[in-house]
Amino acid sequence: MAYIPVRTLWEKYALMPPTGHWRYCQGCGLGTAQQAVARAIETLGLNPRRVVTVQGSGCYAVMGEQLGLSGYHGPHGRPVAVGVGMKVANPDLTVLCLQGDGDALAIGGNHFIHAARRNIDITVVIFNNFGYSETCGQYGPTTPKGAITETSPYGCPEAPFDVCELARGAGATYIARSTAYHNMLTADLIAEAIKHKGFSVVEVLINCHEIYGKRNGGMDAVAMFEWFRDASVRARQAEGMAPEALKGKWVIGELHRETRTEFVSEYVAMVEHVQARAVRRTPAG
Amino acid sequence: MSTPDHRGRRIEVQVNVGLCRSCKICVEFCPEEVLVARPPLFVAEVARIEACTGCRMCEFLCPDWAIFVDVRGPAGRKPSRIVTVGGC
Repeated sequence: MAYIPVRTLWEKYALMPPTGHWRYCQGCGLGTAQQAVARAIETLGLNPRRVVTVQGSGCYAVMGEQLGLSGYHGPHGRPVAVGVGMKVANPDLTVLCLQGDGDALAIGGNHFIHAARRNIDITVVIFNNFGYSETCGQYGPTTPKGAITETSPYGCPEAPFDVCELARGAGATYIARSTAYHNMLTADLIAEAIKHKGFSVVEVLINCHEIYGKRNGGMDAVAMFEWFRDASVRARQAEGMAPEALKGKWVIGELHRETRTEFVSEYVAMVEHVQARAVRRTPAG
Repeated sequence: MSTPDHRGRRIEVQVNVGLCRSCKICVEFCPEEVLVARPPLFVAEVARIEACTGCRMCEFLCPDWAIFVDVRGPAGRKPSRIVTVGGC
């Protein structure tokens, strides 16, 4: 990928809130992820006016506004539902659903899996910060087992979702994972996901040190970035590793890609076929 | 701005102190320890520009978009394109 300076991203995308800084906590990886999203759009040379971001509720939900993109705040958990509607009504748009882990997998889990099953050409970026951080850190569907949170002071008793495996089982045709630390990789993967014709999912692990990190080992932003760096294995390296060696690690990079019929093109073809048949049946004159 | 290195490049690292929120990510992850954060504010500042290799790790990792790295090639050449960054 060609290098795009942050200065260019400032000039083209940044829409700074009146507070004078991004509306994230100090050192939050959402700032770097936001840089990756802007860099992906700039790399592909997309017209920002033809890119729509749809967001639900969560810490990440200001990202589309801060990037100055056309955006829509869907109801909590329903960005995919809104995005599907936008894409079907206007197939030329690039629809980018920005979601959190709780938003995509708990509140909107149903919409997520069914959009994946239909293989509709939208891109879902899931910012996984291991819980509901915007509301003081209750445990959610991606909180690791045993983690201390607001609602699990003695350790989270539930097993977490593996976002990428869930998406794969549901039928997504492009699946990738990255972390806040691997910022250039995130930009590459989001760009690939936007280019891919079909339902594409990119999971980005975000360091929530203010809520999650403090309670789990007293990690600050730097410690969580180091954790991401040390616990990540590239997909290519992971192929040759034993399953025991991968325990407790995140496999990052492009995890799955397949080609399958896309919903909108299929639907348009069906409409044309039915209309042609209707014309044939109409009596002449 | 640094003096030209063996490839004739000049590197400039700018920190926008108005945007920096003292998270110290750039300071900790700079492979050459170019940046420092001094008390009381712990705002990042450039201490050893001569050691900078222009890897742009700080620019990519800054959550506040507060760091700009300019790598200028010898006269008549375009700025270098980045290919890979160590670990990032």
